[in-house]
Amino acid sequence: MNIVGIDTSTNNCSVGLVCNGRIVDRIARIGRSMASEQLISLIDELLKKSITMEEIDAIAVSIGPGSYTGLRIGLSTAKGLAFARKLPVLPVPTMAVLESVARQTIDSDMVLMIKSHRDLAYHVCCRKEHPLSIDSIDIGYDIFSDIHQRYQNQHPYISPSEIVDADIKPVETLYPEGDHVAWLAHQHYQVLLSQSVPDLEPLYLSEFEVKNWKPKTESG
Amino acid sequence: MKILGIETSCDETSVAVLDDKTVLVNLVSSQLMHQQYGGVVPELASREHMRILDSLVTEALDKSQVELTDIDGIAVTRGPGLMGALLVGLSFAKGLAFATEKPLLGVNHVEGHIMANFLDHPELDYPFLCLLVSGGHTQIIFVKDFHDYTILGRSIDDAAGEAFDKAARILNLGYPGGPIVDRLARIGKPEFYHFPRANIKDNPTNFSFSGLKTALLYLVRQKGSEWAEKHKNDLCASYQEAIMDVLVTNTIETAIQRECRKLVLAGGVAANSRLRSRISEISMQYGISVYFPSLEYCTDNAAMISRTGRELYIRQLFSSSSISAVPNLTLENDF
Repeated sequence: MNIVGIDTSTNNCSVGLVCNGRIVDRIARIGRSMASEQLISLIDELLKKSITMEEIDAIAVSIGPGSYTGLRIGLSTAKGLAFARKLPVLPVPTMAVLESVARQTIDSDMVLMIKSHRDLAYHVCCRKEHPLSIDSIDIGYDIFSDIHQRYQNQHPYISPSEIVDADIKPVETLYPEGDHVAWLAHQHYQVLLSQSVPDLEPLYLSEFEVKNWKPKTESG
Repeated sequence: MKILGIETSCDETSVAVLDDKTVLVNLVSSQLMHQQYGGVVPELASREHMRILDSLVTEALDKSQVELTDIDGIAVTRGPGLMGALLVGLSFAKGLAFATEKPLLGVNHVEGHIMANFLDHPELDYPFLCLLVSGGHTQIIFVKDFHDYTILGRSIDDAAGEAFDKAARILNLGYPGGPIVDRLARIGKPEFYHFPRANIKDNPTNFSFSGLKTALLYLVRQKGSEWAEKHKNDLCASYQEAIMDVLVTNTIETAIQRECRKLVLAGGVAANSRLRSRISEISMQYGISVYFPSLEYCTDNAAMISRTGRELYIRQLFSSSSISAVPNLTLENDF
């Protein structure tokens, strides 16, 4: 089984290929507007090396939490790719992807943080002995100081985002990556397959509320 | 030639299939949840497009009985519009075009509104003068050919559609304002109150509507909301007439001056019944032929995007997979 993985949840636009459970390749570029402009050409580059679109069995996508715009670009592209040959779109939790990446170098309990906006971040503590569950991750959403209160630097902080805070010192900047998305999708294929529906949405997590919103007529 | 069209620039998700010049299907799903906020909430719009686009494409292909493999090109709006909303449609289209190895056709939504006229009037040909009126635009455009536009006049502040929305907000009529004001104005008296008609000195083909909205606001403040409620039909009729006077006068004068015998209306405000009747009436006096899209193609729709995509396809103007969504795309900065 061949799976293309896409992660655009951060400003790292990353795609990867997993064939029969083995990571074959990853191509990633970091930068603004990278996902909206370069995602397709990265996938093209990825496939050209070893495989054709016809040989792909599923599209796996990092589902969130993360940048709303990034997540939507990734999922919309995945849906478009999958539509042509009615492939499943497998939603992989971004925290599980980041955990998988971090586990290559970190051999202890750790706290994963993905910045939302201002001083708010999504966070989860990963135990060394118990990898995150693929379909129910208890993710916290707090301001930096509360996150620090909770973990007190007991475990290393891992984050793809720039966290500017006096107390929280991320030990390493690691990004969720497309090859890990595809690899996790292969590992948990049946569970994720049941979540492949046309109206699939990103895991926005923090509920969007319309506050202090002033109407403005848009062009069109 | 069959073109699949996708439109997600604002609060309508739309998918169409065009076979040569015939619309096989044009599905439009309007997002009604914005009404409670009095305008389009961008984040909500993006989320709704994300939810339904996939199913809408499936439904469009089913209803038109066209196989995806028989589609020649995939047309999609790349701007202007809301960034997040545009990206949902554009990203989907890019993925689809890549996986099917079909050409991607990035369409300017404004050009789409003009091209909507060719859906209803296949006999229409270039050149013509176009009055483009929508929530974001008020422009008089000389259209020499496809992709060849000269903007002769424009609004220096609010667009005409914006003026309608703002009036509806001041009068507490709901959203979107255009159709509501149009409906109430039909049973009101246009001579009830004389609102200002702005004339722009340096370019008489330009428009200004911001003073009009202010005049209404002050009037309602002065007379009170009860009075405004009681006279809402007359106020709508008078307000609308002020917009119409300027739109009609400037457009017809430009047509006469430029010796254009063909006049085309485009954009959401082209659905306004008073605009349609007044411009038809006066054009007849001057021997000018008037064209406007059917109501279905005045508002945002993917049929017009497909129709524009067809012209791009014929000219081999294919888009690269790296094209961006451009929220402020205009006819002038496009090419």
